[in-house]
Amino acid sequence: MLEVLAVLITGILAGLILKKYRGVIKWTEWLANISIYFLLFFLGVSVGVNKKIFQNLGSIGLLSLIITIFVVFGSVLTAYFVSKHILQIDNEK
Amino acid sequence: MKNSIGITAVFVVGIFLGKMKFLPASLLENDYTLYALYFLLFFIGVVLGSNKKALSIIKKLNWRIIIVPAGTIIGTFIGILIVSLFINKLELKELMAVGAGFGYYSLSSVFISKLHGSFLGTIALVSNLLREIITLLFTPLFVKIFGNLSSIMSGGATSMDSTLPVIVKYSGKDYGVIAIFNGLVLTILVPLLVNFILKVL
Repeated sequence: MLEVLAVLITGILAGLILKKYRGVIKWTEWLANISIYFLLFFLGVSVGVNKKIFQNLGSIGLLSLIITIFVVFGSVLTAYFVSKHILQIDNEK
Repeated sequence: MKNSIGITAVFVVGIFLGKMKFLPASLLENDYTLYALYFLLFFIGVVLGSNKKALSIIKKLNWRIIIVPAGTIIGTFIGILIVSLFINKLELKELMAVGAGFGYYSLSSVFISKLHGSFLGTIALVSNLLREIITLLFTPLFVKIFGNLSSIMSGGATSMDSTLPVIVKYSGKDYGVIAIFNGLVLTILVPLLVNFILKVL
């Protein structure tokens, strides 16, 4: 937990200091993308070698869809409540 | 969107190479991915810290806007709480970790698979990818029924980048700043909350 926070904050501070150097930042964005691809590739491999997960990919998809539908509904209903009762936003454009 | 297609493609190629036993097993036993994860986290921090637009937005912010990311978090967990009544394959804690991805599928999935295994990691990937896709597709409808904030809260962490164009288009230009702020707060919270839920709770 603490190391995650520490790494993230170190990164943000480095970004604040380095923000003038666009070249460095572009390079960092590229590295971030590469690490994401690398990590997701290995997540894929670990799914492929794991028979139990691979055979259940269909039900994993369905389960994920159900979770997401509830999450999105929770979020948009909260948005409705917040804009009506807390922030009192006029939604007419 | 083009990013999500690329990421899905890499993931699928990985699955097939794993299935074909194309890769030496030793590759999986060694834990390079943990280091890659910390590097990624650091790079994400640098990209966030160097974001000039975000910084200028935060400086002139009305602090009441904090209600928007707070609402996104509360709404997400209300959904998780309700869906946990119907799903018995996963514990509430596991469902909460998936929800705490807030649409940030790449980071949340690799994080969760590292902390809790590939099964939950895959669910986090698909579920959070779907959150982005549903937001992109249904924002016009959401805005009409649930108001202008709904697109932002539905988008979650993606409201600062991939879903920002549709949010601005349907909720209006004034909501761009709120959307970026919401995405920024949630992006920072994803690794922290996922870690907290799986390790501490």
